[in-house]
Amino acid sequence: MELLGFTLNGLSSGAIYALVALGMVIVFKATDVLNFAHPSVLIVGTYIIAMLHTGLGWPFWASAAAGILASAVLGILIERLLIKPFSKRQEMVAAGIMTIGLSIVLDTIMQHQIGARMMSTGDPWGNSTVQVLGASMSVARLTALIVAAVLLLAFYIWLQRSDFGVGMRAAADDPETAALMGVSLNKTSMVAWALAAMLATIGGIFLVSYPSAGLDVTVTSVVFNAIPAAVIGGMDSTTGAVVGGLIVGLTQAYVLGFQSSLTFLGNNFAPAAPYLIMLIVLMIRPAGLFGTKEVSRV
Amino acid sequence: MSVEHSVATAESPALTPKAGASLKVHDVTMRFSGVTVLDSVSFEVEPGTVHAIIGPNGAGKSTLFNVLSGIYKPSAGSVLLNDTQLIGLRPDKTVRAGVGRAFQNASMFNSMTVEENLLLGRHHLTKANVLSIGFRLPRASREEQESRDKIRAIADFVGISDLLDRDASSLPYGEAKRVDLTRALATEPTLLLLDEPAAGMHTHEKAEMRDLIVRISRELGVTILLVEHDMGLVMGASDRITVLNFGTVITTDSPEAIRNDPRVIEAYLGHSSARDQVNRTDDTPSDSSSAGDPDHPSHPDTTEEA
Repeated sequence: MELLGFTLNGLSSGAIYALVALGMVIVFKATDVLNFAHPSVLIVGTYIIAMLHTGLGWPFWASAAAGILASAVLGILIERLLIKPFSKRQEMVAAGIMTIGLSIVLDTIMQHQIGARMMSTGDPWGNSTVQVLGASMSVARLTALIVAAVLLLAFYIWLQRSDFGVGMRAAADDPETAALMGVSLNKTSMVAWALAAMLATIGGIFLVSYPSAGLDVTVTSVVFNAIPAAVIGGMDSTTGAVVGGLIVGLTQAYVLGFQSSLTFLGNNFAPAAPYLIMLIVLMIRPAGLFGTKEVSRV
Repeated sequence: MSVEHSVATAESPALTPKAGASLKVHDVTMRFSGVTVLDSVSFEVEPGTVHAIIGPNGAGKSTLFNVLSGIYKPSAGSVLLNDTQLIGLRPDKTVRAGVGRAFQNASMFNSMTVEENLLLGRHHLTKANVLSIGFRLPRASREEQESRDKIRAIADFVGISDLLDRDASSLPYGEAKRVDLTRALATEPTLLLLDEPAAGMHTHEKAEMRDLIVRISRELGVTILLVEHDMGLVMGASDRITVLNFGTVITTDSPEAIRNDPRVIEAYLGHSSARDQVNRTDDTPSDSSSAGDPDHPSHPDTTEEA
């Protein structure tokens, strides 16, 4: 029963990581940028929601919609103002390093804005729990699991079936040929960054819901789990993002759950566990589990 | 051929001839870090005709195609498609302006089916936006159906309808080339750029390709600019031929005139016979080694002249 509880919690937090990691993969596929600022975009989007709710008293759904849209705008601004100059010169590794700087700047601004507060997005799930197969689970986490599953499926269908999705896949495969088929690389790149930022903020809403206490400055370290999730799955694989997210979520839940039997790892090993898995996966498969190109060779 | 033709026009009224565009290339110069790859290149292509660009490897043919499709921005010059200036347009904008391109290496998207590859050619023609398609709003699905119908009509015309459901990665080279050409047609071009459409093909496939090029020009009215090394195809399909050598235009003329132009024979067509002559009279190893260099095929001629 204990194991089932850990598994459910692992899956639900894994589903959130998958949403965030998917954003990193979409951006990487569309623009070849390893976006280290992705977790920071999540914090900004979630902060906007919490601020609209606590500061201006907006209802949750209104502030959530506004926050998700605002993060899309932020994604597009980053792409237009900061990434475009790099992609013109094909310096995508440098662009990735630039995003580390961007992440530090955004995090610092957020630390200043959030301060010592613990902010709430005012989500409707509160701290209620349900029994799933005999194990207790927070309603927020169960909702996260369902929403993530629906979004991931919708994204997959959109990518496979829609005209824009086909264009996006083509641009990821072979940008030059795609452009000569009339696919606008500008538009594809903007849509990718906007979409990634929106997925991040949706993930952020659930990440700060119960059992998490809310949005505070420490959330950043949790969000960073999306990076090993994306790398484990393979930076250029959308399937990999989902699998990587689930692996990271489950690993952490098990390490945390069975901490008492894993004393040789110490009491705070759970945050490090995903990175250990990442190291092992990369040593065996440098492109990640489902990836086709190694990040270093981009 | 005639049966195929009547089927295509009878069952697919969507595939109606449209006016091919005229192309005016004027004084196009392209330099890469000091090396002049195209030197004041000028020629004109009449609407609805097949116009070939020939010349030895390294003559600037691929560079010229990349200028026409917006990949390279030339150092100077002008390229007018009807009245539209192509220079300065991004590649996806040149497609919207009417330039369709088939590739030397076919450039199939291997993760997709043939039909998806062809749908991609119509990407710029669909008006539905990012969201509506995903949720299959009536307008989007009607548009998608029209797109699929149009693709079937074009595939029928080229004769590849039986390949639509195949994975692009499973196609043999010759068929991939035909699908690539179909994809370029699916963009509904007024000017079609064909980059070595018969490269690597068997004699039989080359003849089919020549017939197809002529049919596209005569029946669909599309203006065709062709780069090809196979002289049989070039002479058989082209209305006019421009000869490039080391980035400069030697001449633009009819196939008959080109065949008999001594400058052309010297620069290109007569290259192998000139080499034979060299080999007959003065069979030195240095001559044969430089003759084997594909980037400088006219060197033996010039050394012989000197």
